[in-house]
Amino acid sequence: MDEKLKQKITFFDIQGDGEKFQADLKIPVDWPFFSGHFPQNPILPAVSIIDLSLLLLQRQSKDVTFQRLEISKSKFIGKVQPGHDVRISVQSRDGKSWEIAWTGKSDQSRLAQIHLTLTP
Amino acid sequence: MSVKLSVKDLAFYLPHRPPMVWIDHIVEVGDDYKKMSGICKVHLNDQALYCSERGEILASAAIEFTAQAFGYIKAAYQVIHKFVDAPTQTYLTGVRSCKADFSEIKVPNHQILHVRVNVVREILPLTMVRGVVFIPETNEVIAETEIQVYVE
Repeated sequence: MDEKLKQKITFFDIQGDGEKFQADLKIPVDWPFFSGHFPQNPILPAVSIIDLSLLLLQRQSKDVTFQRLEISKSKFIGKVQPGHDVRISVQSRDGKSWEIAWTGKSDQSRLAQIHLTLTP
Repeated sequence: MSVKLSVKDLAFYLPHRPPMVWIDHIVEVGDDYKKMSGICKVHLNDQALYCSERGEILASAAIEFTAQAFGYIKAAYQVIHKFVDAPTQTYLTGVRSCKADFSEIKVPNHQILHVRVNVVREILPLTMVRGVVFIPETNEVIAETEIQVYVE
């Protein structure tokens, strides 16, 4: 992700550390992906959901570096829209494979479930 | 069948608009509409949202490349075969698998990628699509994905 975009992102209410943690995020209204995805119906694309999850992982688990990304059995269930308040919950058993859940803060609705494996 | 269709000519069929149009051309479409397949071309652009300021491509971009390639190839079938289907909304609802390593790809050293897609199966309104991202000169595979899309 571009450094300028990373600077737009502030995770807050971070709890836990290492291999199990959660954080809240308010999706920026001016996130540049929204203007093209889609102009009349802005929805955060899956690629952004994955990258914001990776950004949280890299900020919280300093050891996380990877060249090869594997994703499996992941679901994008709900629409994530500009200004959406979401909670991102992250868990790993071995520091390489991560289970990440996005839920809506206001109604606890399931938004996305992602399984990532990162290989240096 | 070889073709050269610009995605600009297919904008009517998809809701994506810049800067979220990541595919540039359709260069091949299969003959069988029911087993839709084809190849799209991506002109790598260091200003694109999939590219970092260091010229690196997001690993997760393989998923969006595959989803957009499917959408534009579906639109290309409609144009080529003169189908009168209304434009459809297509949402990415799942990633069954994705293996991606873009670490050797740097913009502007690398300029073009191809994305080959084919429909694996259809259980309407869901369609499973396989995507392979590769360097056309060498056929080196950079990413393989299998995604699930919901077609409205």
